[in-house]
Amino acid sequence: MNLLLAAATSAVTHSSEGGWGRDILWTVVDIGIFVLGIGFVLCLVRLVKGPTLADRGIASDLLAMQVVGLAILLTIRLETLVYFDAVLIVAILGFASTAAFAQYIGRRRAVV
Amino acid sequence: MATMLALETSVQDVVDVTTAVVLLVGLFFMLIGAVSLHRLPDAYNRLHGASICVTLGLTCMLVAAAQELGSAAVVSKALITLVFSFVASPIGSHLLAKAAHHGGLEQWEKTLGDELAEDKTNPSMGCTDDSGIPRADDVPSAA
Repeated sequence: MNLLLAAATSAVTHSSEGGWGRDILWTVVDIGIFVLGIGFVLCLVRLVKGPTLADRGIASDLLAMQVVGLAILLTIRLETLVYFDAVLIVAILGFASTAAFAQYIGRRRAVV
Repeated sequence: MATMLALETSVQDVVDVTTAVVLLVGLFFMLIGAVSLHRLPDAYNRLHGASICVTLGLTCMLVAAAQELGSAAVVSKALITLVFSFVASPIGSHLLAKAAHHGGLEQWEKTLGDELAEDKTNPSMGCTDDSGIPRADDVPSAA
């Protein structure tokens, strides 16, 4: 059991020989995941509650930005480039969804 | 842990701490952008708060990733993302604000003025009511 835990820990910490700076950085990354989680919740509340369609569009745009931030945090924490490709793709998707939302509002001629 | 805190400072430690500081600044602005969705009174004002998320928050976080990993692949992808988001974010905000204004979204009562509405009443400005956004009912029929 102890061996299993040690193996899991070394898999997560990527077996890199970090000094005290690495500890500080990973603490900040762990805090950042919570911060972005709070951001997710705030954006989702505005997305559900938002009185107008424009508010919902802004909230969904901001939600994409939080996802981008989470991918950057994963890149720093796991030290792999796998998640960094998602950054550009989610940014492009967020812009496309914002543009589509604006077209929807403009054609609808109403914001509620 | 006590031996770790004996502070054998290497270059990597300095890079890590600098990255942590830049990352904290980026996370702070990300949180500010999300909180502004609830603190600001108006959809037009909320657009302003959401832009901070991209221009400061995302920039700082991308700089942190590029600084920590430091390879050419990360730096070039971060640069591409940065350039794209700096072009796309104002365009998206402008599209949303224009569509909301054409949709008749009321401003906050303490907003000082509405120059687009004034320009629409002035024919010399060339700013018609429908500037650019097609209506749902005048989609050109194939005929």
